Amino acid sequence: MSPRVRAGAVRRFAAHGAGYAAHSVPWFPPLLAGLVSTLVVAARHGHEAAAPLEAVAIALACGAGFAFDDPAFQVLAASPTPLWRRRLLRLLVVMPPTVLLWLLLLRWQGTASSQETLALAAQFAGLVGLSLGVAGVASRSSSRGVGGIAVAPTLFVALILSTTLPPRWRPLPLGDIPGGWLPIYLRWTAAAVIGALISLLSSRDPATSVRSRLARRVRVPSFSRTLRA
Amino acid sequence: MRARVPASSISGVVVSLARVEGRRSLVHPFFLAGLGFALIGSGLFIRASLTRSQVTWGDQGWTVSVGFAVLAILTMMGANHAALRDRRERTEEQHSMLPAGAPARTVGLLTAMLWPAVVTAMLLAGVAGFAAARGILIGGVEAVHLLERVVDVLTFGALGIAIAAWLPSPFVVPLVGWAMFLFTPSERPASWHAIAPFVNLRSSELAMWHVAYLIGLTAIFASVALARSSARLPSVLASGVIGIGIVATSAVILLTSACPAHGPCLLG
Repeated sequence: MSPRVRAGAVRRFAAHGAGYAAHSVPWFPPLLAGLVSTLVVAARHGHEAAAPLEAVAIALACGAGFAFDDPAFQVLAASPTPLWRRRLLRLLVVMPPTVLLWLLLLRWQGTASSQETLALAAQFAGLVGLSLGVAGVASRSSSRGVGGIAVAPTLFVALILSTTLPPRWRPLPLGDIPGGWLPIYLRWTAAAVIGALISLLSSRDPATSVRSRLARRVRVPSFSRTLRA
Repeated sequence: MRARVPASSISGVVVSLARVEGRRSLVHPFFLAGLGFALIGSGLFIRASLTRSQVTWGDQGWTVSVGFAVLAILTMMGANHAALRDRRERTEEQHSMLPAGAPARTVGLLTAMLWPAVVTAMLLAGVAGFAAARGILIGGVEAVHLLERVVDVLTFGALGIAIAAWLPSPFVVPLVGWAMFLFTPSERPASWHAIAPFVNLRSSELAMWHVAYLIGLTAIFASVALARSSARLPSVLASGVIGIGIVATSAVILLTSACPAHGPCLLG
């Protein structure tokens, strides 16, 4: 297949797949999260930015966690499109409006400094990463393909557990911690990377997992031996 | 058409459902996570009382209160998850054909919240017993605060079920839980803080009014949940009106007496 033909096929797939994803994504959670976030910023407009924008980041991240919910995943498991590609399409549909809304609310609320903006951005990225990681694992392990329900309670438990630690040792800091901005950037960025990695690992296609490949290698020779016999 | 079931059988069904749901709620992952936080809070108090001298409940007891407040929020999430089970598993239509209808199931679920409340009461009694054994004085007002933590579990459980009845999405209750956690009253006391769910008042009488306020809220949430499941209207209305009466009376007393313009502010 020439590169031009392949590019055309990819474009057609993306357009068709994105349409399917947009129809099948449960939109109520992201929309409710967006509404609640807007109300929070409207209510706290003019006050300091950190608290309302932390709430916004949590709400939007929890809403985005429902992007992987796909009750038809068992039917689609046998399709040639692998799991990671189906999930990528769903993310391409859900994430742009989520990030756009966050940027608009950030601009509306305003921040005191560029460092604060960067810290809030790192926090948003970290929460979204963790949310997708939890949603990926939960969707994969759920028999119904729905993992979004696990995201908000898991983040709730994780953030409260983090808050019970002394500020110096909090892995997911809400508010200020000793050491200034740098530890906040680093910890939330690390959370984003870890969450994204977990999400990627959970998006491996079940049919091409290492276990199933090994099982095939073991099974095929014995089958051929049977044929020869 | 559904066969009419005698009231005595319905109450039997409710008790059976409450037993099953109560046991399930005790092993629900959300409740177990909440129990973990309650144990962490209690453990911090016990450690402080073992390692420091002259520990008072007023100085160190807050870790216990916070742990059990988180338990109440996670109980709400667990109750909501249980109440949405029919919708999640798509068994609403199947269960609607049973002789005992949706109201019996809702009452059973509401009654099941007694199980987490009893476990909470036992744990708090254990912490209070330990404190008493260590010579840490738990006065009347502190005892009422402990009672409040038990009632919180019932109130939030009923809230989770009411939300599931009217807003059947698994995303709503976690947002409510987050709101409870993030939007705590500020350090500067204001009279409206007295009607926040997790406030500690420094007067036994006002703390008792706060317990009454929480009980009233529980009655309102239960009525709201039952109103959705087409329960008998007079009984639902009666419990709702009683709840509103209790909440209105206690809220007026709390708002006027907890932090008056002239006099000491009794918010903890």
